[in-house]
Amino acid sequence: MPPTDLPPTPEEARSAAALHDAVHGLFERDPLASAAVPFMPWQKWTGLAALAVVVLALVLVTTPTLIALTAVSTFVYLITLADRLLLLSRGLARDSILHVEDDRARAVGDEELPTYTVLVPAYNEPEVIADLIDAVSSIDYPADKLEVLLLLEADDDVTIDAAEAAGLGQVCQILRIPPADPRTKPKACNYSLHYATGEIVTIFDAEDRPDPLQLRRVAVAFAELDDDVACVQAKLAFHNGSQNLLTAWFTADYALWFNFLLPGLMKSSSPIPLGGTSNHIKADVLRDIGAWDPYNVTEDADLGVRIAARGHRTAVLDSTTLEEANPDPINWIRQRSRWYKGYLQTWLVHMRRPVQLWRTLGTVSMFRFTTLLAGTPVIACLNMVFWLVTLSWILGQPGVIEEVFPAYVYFPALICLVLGNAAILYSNLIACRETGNSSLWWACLTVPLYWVLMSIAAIKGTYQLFANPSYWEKTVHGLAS
Amino acid sequence: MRTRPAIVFLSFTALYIAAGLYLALGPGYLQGDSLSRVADTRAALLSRDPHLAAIGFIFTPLTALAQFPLVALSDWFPALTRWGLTAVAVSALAMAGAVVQIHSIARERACPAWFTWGVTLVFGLHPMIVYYGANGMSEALFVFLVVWSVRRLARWMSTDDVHDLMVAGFALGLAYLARYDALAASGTATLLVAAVSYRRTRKTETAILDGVVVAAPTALAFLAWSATSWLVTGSALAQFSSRYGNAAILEQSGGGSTGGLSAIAFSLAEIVVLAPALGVVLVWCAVLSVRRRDPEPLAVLALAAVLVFAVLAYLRGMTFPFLRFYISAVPLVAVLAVFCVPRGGWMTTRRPGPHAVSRPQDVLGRSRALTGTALLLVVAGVPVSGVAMSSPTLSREQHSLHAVVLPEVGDRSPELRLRQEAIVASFDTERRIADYLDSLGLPEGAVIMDTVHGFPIIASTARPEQFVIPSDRDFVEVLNDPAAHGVQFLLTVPAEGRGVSDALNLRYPTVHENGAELGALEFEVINSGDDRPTWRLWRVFS
Repeated sequence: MPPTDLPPTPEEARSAAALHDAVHGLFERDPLASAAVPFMPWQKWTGLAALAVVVLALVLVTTPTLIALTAVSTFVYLITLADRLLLLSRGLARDSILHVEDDRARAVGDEELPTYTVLVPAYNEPEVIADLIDAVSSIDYPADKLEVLLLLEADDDVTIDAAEAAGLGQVCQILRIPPADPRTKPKACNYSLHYATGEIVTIFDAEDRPDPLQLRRVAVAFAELDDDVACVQAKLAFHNGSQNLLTAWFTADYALWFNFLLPGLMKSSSPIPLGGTSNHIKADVLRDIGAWDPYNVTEDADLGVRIAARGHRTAVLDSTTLEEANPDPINWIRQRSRWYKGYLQTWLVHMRRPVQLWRTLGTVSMFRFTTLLAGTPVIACLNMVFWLVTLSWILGQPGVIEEVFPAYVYFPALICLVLGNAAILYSNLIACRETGNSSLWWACLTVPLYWVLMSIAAIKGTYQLFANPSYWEKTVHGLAS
Repeated sequence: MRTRPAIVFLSFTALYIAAGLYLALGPGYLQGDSLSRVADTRAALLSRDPHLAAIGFIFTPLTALAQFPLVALSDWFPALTRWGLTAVAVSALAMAGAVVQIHSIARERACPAWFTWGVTLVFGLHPMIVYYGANGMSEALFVFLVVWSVRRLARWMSTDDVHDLMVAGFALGLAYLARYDALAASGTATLLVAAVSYRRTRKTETAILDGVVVAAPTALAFLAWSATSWLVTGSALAQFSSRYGNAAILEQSGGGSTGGLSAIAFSLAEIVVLAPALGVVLVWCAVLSVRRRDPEPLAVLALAAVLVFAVLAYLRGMTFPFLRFYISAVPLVAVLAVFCVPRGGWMTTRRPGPHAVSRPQDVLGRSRALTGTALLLVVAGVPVSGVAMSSPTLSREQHSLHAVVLPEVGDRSPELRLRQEAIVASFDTERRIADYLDSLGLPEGAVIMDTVHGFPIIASTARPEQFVIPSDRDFVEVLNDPAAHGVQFLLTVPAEGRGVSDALNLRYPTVHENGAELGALEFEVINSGDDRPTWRLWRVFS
């Protein structure tokens, strides 16, 4: 804002208020729900005290402490693995995911459809504008009920110029976000909520290719489901799975997550960490629960948990949005480390009121929320430790390892090592078969190498959580060949 | 579990357990391999050096692992292992499971009720099935798992449900952990699924993936078991290289085939006596399936492969002339009879696959006559099998049942009768040796012996920890200087037949003759069992 003596116009005042609310709204209304402060003082002290106790124990009684640590880790592994398999088997049932057939989606009269706002946040991505026009034009929804907002930072000249040159104004409105930190997607989305008019709000990334009937399917789903369903998450998949080994692994990973694990979570009435795009939310509920947290680097997962924590439900819909899988390992690791960091942030935020959360979610969902959001990154980090332990044991069988793994730890650990890895690899095979990705069978068989990348990303993300909590690792798009 | 399968399961479990209890506690007739596995399991849990690796690596471990909970109780109730009852519990449950699978195959085919129950009874009451459900051998688990995979593969032909492929794969992987022969079934099922998948989609990658889904569990079982064997014993496939494996036993005690036509003839005779109607029903089922364009019966190839494997293995002189290696013929003929029945009804399924088809309903005249004839053919085979099982040439391991079950029927030569009684009395002597040693109140590790012949002693004793046995990690050290390690007695067998591989004979070749200057002869026990060694007990010089 240039300094002027003139009072701000109403429009400027509205924008300034929207910006302030977008950045500080959640924190001002409900400071405990925001990740603006990464650790509450008591969380920090509890963590440090626990660390001190472990270090002290390691110094004083080394072997028993190591045994206890491996026993606890093994137990956590086993129980998480068993729960994953349970979710998978629930998600495998044909009726675990919501279906709305094409003709039912088309049969709804235009006058019965709710108004819809599609948010498309983009930053410094002039190359995806052409795809975006195609994608928006392909959506099957009455024009008078559909509002598409392209969210661009006001100083992102390259993208703004590209959008105007391509005549994007015909298919959507360009909303310029006043430049302010944090420059994150959730902040842009929060700002746009002050301009959005739709009863249902959804987010697509600029390069997404949503199923043209997705909005209609969602409208039918909302009409048929109970009122406590506040959000419908569509499935994400990749169109460039066969580009290279990494995109193949990533595709199998997504196939498993969106087609089986999320439906399994829905069937188990557990909180569902939303995917980054294609989540369709009732606008009134969204505003009521405080929208997105601009300080959380996985605002989507956080919103999913907050929806559950406030007593609403999320449904998973059988409708696919195609995205571009990250084909570059460095870029992939940056993205994945952000996800892991965000998962941990989300877990820490929602554990600030553990008793309240437990009352809302119940014991099983509370356990699942923990294994998913804290367990996923922590286990990915621990994997590296245990792989190195296994490797050193195979190479030299050092006596220390034998001491740390007495029979009652050794056998469960062995079950984890053999059955656990095999079960997850097999799950990937099943997911590829069921999503028509049979050509990726070779990637499923080599997926342990992908887990190494995951582990590196998890270690990076966890480290960053402590070193630089709100730093946002930007993912570069448009690398698909 | 739904009620009907539950009723079938419980009734047949009760039947097989009753038969097992009768054979073990009445005449005391036990199968050596079964008792030997009980002894290994006991060594793993209750010996002086309990560790999991003691269950042994000659056979795959599932049958032994399944007995763990009950074997653990034998500390308080030695009778459980003394009479091999822990093994009976496993085989009875497994064989009842096989009966349930046969029953379900018929129900899913929508056969008439009388046929479904008929085929269930004729399979479940077949003498060979009853005996192997009752004697604790690994055949029961194996038959159950392979038949289960056949049922799931047949379902998959119309549901294309990934669950069916997965369960078939798991069943075959577990079957490998029950018996090595499962590799034949697993390989065949994999090729079959890949071929059917390719015909549906004309896509190589889909065929490969479907094949991998079926094969993966077996591959994992094979690799995990080989790796474990290699880590613990230093050889990945102990069955083929160990001095206790089949190859070694054949070398020590003979009994392999000489190959050629006579071997094939013997194998075919064994198959025919187990399922006399097999040839007719097989041809008939094949003709009907081609006419109906019904792919479901192809699933039986997994069972047929096991038979082919048994024939080839015997032809190559790799196995013994045992009737039980052909036991798959019994479920095979039952399942084939079911597949002669016209298709009806539909399959309920959790997740119909992309190539699911609604099951065609075969409308064929004379179907009732067809169905009845198929069942009658199978029923007619049962008495033939019963008679054959009492023939010493055809049924080397079972013919003593004659002496147990129907001693008055039929005329047997006096020599044969005496031999059969000796077979039934096998392990009596070892039980008495165990009782005698138990009564001495010896300390831990006071008696050293090898379990190659001594397994019944380990199974029968109330105090397994008083024995030093080859699975103990310090066995070799103790054997090198028994007196210094507190050993008071040596138990030896003659160095002939399988006794050649006895560790005491290998270390001290004259020990059974003269005590090898380690100890003085306490007493000698002439064995009352058939083909069982004379035992000598030596008191170690201290």
